[in-house]
Amino acid sequence: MNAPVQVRGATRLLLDSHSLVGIVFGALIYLICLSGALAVVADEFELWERPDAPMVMRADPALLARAATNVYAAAKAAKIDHAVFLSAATPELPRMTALSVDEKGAYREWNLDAAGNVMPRATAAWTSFLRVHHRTLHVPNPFGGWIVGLIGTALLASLFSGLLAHRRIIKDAFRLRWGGSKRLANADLHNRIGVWALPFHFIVALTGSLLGLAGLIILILAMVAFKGDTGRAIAAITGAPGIEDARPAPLPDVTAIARDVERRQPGARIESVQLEDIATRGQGVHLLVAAPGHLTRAEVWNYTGAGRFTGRLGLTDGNPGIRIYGMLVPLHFGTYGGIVLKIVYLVLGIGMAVLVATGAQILLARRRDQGRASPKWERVWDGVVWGQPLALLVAAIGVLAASVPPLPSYWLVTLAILAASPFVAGIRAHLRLATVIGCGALGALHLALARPISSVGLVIDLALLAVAALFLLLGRKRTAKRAKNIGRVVA
Amino acid sequence: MSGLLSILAICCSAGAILLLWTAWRRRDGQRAPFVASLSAWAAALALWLAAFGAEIGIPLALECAAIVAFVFILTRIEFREARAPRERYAPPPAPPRHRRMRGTMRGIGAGPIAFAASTGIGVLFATAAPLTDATRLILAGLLVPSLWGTAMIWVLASRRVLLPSAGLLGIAIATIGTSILVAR
Repeated sequence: MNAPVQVRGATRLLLDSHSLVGIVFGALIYLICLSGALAVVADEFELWERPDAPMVMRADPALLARAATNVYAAAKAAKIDHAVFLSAATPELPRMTALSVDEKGAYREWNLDAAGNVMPRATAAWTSFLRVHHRTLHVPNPFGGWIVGLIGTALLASLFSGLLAHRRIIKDAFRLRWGGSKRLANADLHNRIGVWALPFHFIVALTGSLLGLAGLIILILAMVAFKGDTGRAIAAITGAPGIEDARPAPLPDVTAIARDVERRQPGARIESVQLEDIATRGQGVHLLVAAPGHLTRAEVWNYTGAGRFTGRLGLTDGNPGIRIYGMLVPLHFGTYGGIVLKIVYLVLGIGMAVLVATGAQILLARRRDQGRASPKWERVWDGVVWGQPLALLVAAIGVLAASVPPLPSYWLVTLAILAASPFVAGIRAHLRLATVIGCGALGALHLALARPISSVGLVIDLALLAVAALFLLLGRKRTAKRAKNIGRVVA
Repeated sequence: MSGLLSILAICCSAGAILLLWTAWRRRDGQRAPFVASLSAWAAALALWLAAFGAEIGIPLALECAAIVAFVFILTRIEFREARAPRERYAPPPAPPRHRRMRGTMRGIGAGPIAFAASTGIGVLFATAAPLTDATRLILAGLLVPSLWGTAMIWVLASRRVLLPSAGLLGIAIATIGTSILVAR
């Protein structure tokens, strides 16, 4: 007799804890989920934002060698020449970029053309903003990463408690009621997304949490497990660093190294070249070589400055730890299945944002149903949910139309909406309309201004216009339905 | 070849969802649709594995199932007439005693103490597990956020505030202490 009561009591407590995590972290989880869903297609956004940057379809060994020499010359002239990273073109991002760093961490970036010539970096300001927003929320590292990692952990906790507290998991497995009670509709949507996409949510939250907290966790684990030797802990995962020897040496022969890769693995595609301690006898060359059929996407091949092969890191065939390490980023961002998988991740990621948005709406609706409505908090939450896409759109329009830095415009819009939302009745409708206008304006503006018109750019513009048209259509339908209902009540 | 296998796998997933829905709808206790649905899931998984190998095939199977299930649920959506929310008024519940104090204690328990306990278990694993350095570190790294999330829920879902926090503190001290001894 007591068992069901106890189960109900436990469910209530779990539900309360689920709600508490949602209240404390909901808005931040929503920010991270929305920006993360968009960050999945960040490469495509970069192509969309800067169609004018030089395109490089494939980098052969001779081009890589020429590019490495040219970038080193530019880095040396800029006196930032400790290490050079050269990103070769990939099918997703047919661009060649380079980055050089000095020992203090200062860096300089460039684009390269199809002949390997160094050109000024075609900065995609909004796309970079989006990536940083998702990874650190613009808080300086390492704290930004830790905060995002903590938010990932809160999401994990929320997933566990939500699953355990869901008493009708089987009974309602296929039910999605829409249009009646708002609370019921939101609860159905929340529970169906939460249950059916649970493996995706779990994978993304766990990998995100570890990626964010990695620095802190490794530091703490190394303090005890490796007796404070963090270098050894890091080397265990990323490979042992080379032996430093500052005596001057000629640049590595990248052509010969790339040919050696081709000889060992015919048809191999080099994705990036990293030159460390460059032009010294201790220099090392690390190549990222595409590994089709593996989740990690690429394997690290190590060479000495003299061109001697010293082994692979083992992301594809090493011990389980290294292999799992190689899978974290691809699993988190869905980079292992081409554009189709990216779209799946985008859809599931937006589903995750909807999950968070509806979660808080259920809480607020429950309060309303209990006669304890909090209209101000309802409006604030609407401001968060609909204000974020609008803030991101305004930031993108600002960059595109007037090269306005995206961060200030994003925060200006976000804070203005948050400050105004408690006092504006029907804020959701206003923001939804503004988001629709923003979507349409961004698509039209990009079509009008960006040259040359690329296929990726065209698809994104058309998608923005289609989203705007769809929301307008849904809005009109909703208005017509409401008018019909009012008419019926009057009659 | 992998394209064809993928299409077949998606069809199997769709069939599995359809069968699962049939099983869910029937109230006669017949197990055949449920068993058939499980077989279709297994076939979908096997096809994904055949097309892309285990590393890529397993996540693809899970993601495909989520998308297919949700598309199916969207086709079964029940539209209802909009209902105006009922106007109610209930007096606000009396705030629990020592609310701020309990909130702070819960925050400390679910935050730093739960983190310390999960890290302690992670450290013990990283110190003592008979695995290679990288495997110990990465698995311990994956353990920490999972355990932290679980511990967070334990603290927040517990009626008593101090008991889970004290338990987690004990776990933290015991695991870190043992790890230090083992590391020596």
